[in-house]
Amino acid sequence: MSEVIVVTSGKGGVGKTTSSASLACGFARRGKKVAVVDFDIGLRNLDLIMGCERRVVYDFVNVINRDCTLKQALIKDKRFDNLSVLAASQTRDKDALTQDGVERVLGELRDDFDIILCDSPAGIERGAHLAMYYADRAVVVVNPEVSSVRDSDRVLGLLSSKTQRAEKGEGNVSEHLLLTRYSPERVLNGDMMSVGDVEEILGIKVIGVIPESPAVLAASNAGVPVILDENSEAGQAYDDAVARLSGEERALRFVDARKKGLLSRLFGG
Amino acid sequence: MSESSPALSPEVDQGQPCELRQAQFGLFLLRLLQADWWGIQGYVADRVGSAPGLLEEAAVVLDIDALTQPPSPEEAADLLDRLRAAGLRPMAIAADPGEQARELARLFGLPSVPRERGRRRQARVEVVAELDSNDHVAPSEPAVGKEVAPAPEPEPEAAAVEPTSTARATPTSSTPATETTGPMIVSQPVRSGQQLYARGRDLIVTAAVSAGAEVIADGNIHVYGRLAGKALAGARGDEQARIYCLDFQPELVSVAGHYRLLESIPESSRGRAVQVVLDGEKLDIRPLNRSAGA
Repeated sequence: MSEVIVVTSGKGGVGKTTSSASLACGFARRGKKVAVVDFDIGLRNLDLIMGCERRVVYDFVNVINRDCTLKQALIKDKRFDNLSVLAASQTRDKDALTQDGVERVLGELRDDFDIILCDSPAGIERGAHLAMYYADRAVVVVNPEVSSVRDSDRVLGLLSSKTQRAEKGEGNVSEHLLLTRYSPERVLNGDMMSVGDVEEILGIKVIGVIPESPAVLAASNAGVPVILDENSEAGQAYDDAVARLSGEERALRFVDARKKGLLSRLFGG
Repeated sequence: MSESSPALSPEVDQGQPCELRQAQFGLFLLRLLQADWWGIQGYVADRVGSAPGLLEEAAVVLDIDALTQPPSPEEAADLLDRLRAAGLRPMAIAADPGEQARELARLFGLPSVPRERGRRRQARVEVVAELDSNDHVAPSEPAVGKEVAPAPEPEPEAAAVEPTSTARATPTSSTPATETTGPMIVSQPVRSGQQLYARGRDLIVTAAVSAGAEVIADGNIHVYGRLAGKALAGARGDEQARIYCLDFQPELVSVAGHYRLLESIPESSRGRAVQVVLDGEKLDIRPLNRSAGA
């Protein structure tokens, strides 16, 4: 039974692509056959985060336009045999995505993969709309700040109305909230919204909380999704999120500010 | 003053062929701002197309007071044709009672209705509520409570408006706005950018109404979650309509066009259980007490 999961947010720069890459690797590490699709036509990024940018020959738009087969365009990940990337086109724009084309490509992917992750572009226009339209589940990436929360609220509204499931009355798209760039220290100081604040405003529980961490930037630059950095808190937090998305129960970690020990207080930790 | 009257009053006896009484209906007001007949047709057709359930075949009253000069008889006839082609049904012309009213009535071949009264009772079509672009629905004058705000015309976003199929309002254009059917009940959160309109009835939301969302009803509005968006009760002018809410932190509340913004809402009532009542010209926010009646 294959599943289409959209990673979306409304607002840009909150960590959709970072999250898509890590979730894809996380599911692949658990043995699932995973395809991750970059819907951000014209602003191709996922291939960089996945570290396969030099192997992009054909892209999503080529497949839609039938310039090549899906097989030719899928890039096999070097770390996981069961993980493939479908890159976005850098030279085209969102209008190159057609509803029929997206439906056909996702249909073909469903035949071969357990999980199809759709990395949505920012915004709520065509690209984002098509990325969420065929989804069975949605991971809404949100930062703990007011504008991101409001945009996520808007996106949650669209998920409950502007998706194939909603339009055909086939049940709701399951919604999961992924809180990223979370800094427990700043929450403690009162300059950041807490997990509870965000959950209360949006009315849904988080599936994961990814702490703000330098490891994320380092991982992106290296083309190694941060979930593979098992020493980093962000990597472990993504692994927890994948486990919860797979139905496991795991307690939230990294949401409380660490008590500073005497040494770190003396030397400024 | 306007008690909702039963469909048939008890005095009607069986043999009587018809009944004549005073009644009030929610009508739209179309205020013409420029003598651009073509532009008006396009605008109206657009608006009707974006909210057919609400506006198609809707009865409107024309107000041409803002035009620099009245149209010629040919232009008047042309304008009416254009409005009909765009999907509206012009019913009357708003005018100050007297010679002017008779003149305009002749010009358009429509009855006239007194303007002053209309101003408060009718929802205006000219106020553009574009939720997608985050424009504010209410006029930006800092007026508070007393000011009569034009009730924004709801523009339901076809599917977004009705999150659940059970909540689906099925507005029939033949249903007069004063005839109340059962309430529209919504149990899913109303999220930013969504708009709900309970036409000719009450609206009950058992979840939260987010900031940037809008709930509108011709009748009362009940919100049993947090109300952080806008709530407009009595959208077609029912001054008896009220808003009830358990966690009150709205961007704006309005009853029959009288509105208050968050900044004019006392700190003491925020986050509380309240009811919003139109008391004369003043929009009153009263605490809802579990023990004492309000």
